[in-house]
Amino acid sequence: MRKYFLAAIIFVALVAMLLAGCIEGEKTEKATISEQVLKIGAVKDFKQATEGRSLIFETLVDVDKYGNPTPLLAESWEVSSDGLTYVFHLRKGVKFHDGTPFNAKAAKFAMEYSIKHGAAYGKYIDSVKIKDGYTIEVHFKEYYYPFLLDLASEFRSKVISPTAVEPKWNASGKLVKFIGTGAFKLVNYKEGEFAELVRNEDYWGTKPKLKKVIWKTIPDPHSLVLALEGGEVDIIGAPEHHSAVPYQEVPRLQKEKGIVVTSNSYGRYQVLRINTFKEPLNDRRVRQALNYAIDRERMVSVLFHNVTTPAYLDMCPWFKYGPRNLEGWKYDAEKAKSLLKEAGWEDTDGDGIVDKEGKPLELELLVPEGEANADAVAVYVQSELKKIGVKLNIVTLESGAAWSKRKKGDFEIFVHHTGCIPWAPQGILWQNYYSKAPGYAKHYTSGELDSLIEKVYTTRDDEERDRYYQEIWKILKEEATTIPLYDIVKVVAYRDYVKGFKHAPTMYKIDLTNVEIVK
Amino acid sequence: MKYIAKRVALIPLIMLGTSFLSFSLLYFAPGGSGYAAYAIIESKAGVEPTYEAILNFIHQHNLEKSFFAQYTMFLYRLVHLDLGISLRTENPVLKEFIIRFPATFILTTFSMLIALIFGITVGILCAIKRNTIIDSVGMAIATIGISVPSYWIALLLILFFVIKIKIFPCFGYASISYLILPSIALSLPITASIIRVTRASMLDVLRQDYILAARAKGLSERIIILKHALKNALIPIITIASMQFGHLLGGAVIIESIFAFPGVGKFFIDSIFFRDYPVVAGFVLIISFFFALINLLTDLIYALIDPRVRYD
Repeated sequence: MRKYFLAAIIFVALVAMLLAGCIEGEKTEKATISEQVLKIGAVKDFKQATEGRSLIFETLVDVDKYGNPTPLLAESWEVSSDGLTYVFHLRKGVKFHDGTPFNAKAAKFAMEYSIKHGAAYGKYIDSVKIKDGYTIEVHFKEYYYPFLLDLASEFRSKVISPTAVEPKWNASGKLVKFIGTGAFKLVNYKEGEFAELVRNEDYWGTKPKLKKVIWKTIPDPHSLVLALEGGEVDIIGAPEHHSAVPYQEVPRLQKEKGIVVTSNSYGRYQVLRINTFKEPLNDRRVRQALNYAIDRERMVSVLFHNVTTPAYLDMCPWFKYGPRNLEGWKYDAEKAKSLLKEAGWEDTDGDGIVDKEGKPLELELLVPEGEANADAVAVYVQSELKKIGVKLNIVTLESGAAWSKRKKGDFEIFVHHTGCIPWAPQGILWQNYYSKAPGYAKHYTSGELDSLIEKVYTTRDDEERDRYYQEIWKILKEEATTIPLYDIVKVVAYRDYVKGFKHAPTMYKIDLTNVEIVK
Repeated sequence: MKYIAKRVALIPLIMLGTSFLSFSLLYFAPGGSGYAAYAIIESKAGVEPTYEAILNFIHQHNLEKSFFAQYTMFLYRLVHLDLGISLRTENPVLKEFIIRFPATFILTTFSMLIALIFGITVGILCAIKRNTIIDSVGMAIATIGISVPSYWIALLLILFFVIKIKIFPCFGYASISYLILPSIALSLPITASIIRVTRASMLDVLRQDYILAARAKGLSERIIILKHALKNALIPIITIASMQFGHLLGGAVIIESIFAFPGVGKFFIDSIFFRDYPVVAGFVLIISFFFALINLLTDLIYALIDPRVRYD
């Protein structure tokens, strides 16, 4: 008797749990397909993605693709000649999604919230003051040149409603509701599954044509492509700053009927950073030889079907302060070999690997797991270097392990990338080359470079700053501190009934202003 | 009864042990809390954080404390039934588990049902029609099921049922019909192992004297197979099924990712990569509870089906 009783209990418990789960499941997401609904397929969860949050939140200042600050919620601004006072004139007639008016009080609150929540400019700011109903003044203790660029970042400087935090109007509070001023409002959200956004009918700017946006999370990139092909989602790739659409899938997608594939360069390059403090890489000629040895054109055609383009420089040349009049690395295997010879590396024992004082030229390339395309690129570089007699050992590590090696400077070469607007070029220089910046081990430093970086950060004059930048690029090129490889373009694919899609000026945003569904 | 009480009392100890192991493994993994801060901020902002931002984050979440202090804090919170806050999503760990677990549980149960029904049926058929075409087909299915990776099957299923003939919905979990494809993909390797175990076990039992005796008594073949043979062959099948059930409750990372199924697995694995200590420790704690519970239930089921098994 006892055992049947037990069995019955187990059975009932199982059935109950099953039913509970079913009911839970049935309640979720009933997306009614009506006109002007765009279904976005995304790898990340909506709230975890800066592209998602950018649909809800805006910033005081925006930035164009070259890195010039442009007006957004601040219509205009003035900077004092010593660079220590900023006056922002705010846009009038803007309301948060819950009706809270956007004015100087709200703008001050939002800036203080950002400062309390880790914005880099926080420690330079003395005070934020309300000048009048629509003007705020920011006073600095110390000059901080990337301030306007930092303001253009949703992550560091989103303008949130004072009613969005708990407790309300408390700048140290926690963001609990997604209430911003953006073109879309968040109405429904289930973590890790989907988000439902509707058009903000009171939006101050150009109202989008879309009535509704469904953000669907599909973590696997290949499933994401299948979901687009099956018509489960309308657009993919737009919500990720690194391309979520695998480059290998592009040629197939291009052939598919009813699907449009576009790509856009944001000037972000995949590069190999060389540790110039380690032998034999402390010899400039060896580093230059590595750069000459790689045929980048062939690489992008063989590996990526020319979806992307090769990169020849440390930093994108069309950025506002990017390198100008500087010749990039060209493929020249002969020159690479002669540079190695000049540095004393020659194949004396005939094993195909150059050597010096009895030691073969063997290098280690550190690849963090999950770095996009890095595995394929590493193997390609390995085969190219072999042609000039350099043996490259590829070491792939879990990204945490790779990170800690990089931090300590315990690497010879590692796969990394240059930044993009609004963080580049200033942040990349600071992090990787400024010897006094704490944190990561620097892979190349010099007193000259340090002082140039300091000048870039302290000058108040734009033209002068550009001159310093040009000198920096020249040094980095001459010293061959990195091996630039290719442009990490963002690939976006969508169904052909989606009209009016345009790539946003920065990698971190989605521009849905003119998007409409025409079936 | 005394036995059950003893086993139940052991469960918290098992939970503590596994959570301690997972906590320390993750704590001493390369990268440490600095990497947690780096990876989490990088993922949210899309840019590498400055060193200051990393230090801030570490300080904010008390990650600079020693291993011992952090683990004590974890235990202290645990006593107050609080698993802490996820570093990545900033939500309570328990909430993160509760919103994901029902989906995983249903998917697991569904897959196990498919695997058990299909696996046992085919296994028995193979055993009684030994060395016939039926046996070969059954064993072929088992071999394929074990050797073909389930993510590949999953992609094929999507390609065929979702894109080509469009009869099943996919990506997400809005109703029961979203369960079918992921369950099939998930159950395939389990079905395969159940087929093999059932077949072997049945063949073994069918050779026993009491089966011969039953046949001699003139019992119908149906009763011999289902009542006399199957019941005796069931023990290894239950063992393997319960093990798989426990494993699946921890989440099926790849299948969940491919079908965008909102279960525990993907979130759990991401948390490991992000060094989200509270989530990993909390999830391991809860999952180990289920594991221990299932083991206990399995042992009780042994006693149910085989009176020779006694626990006192």
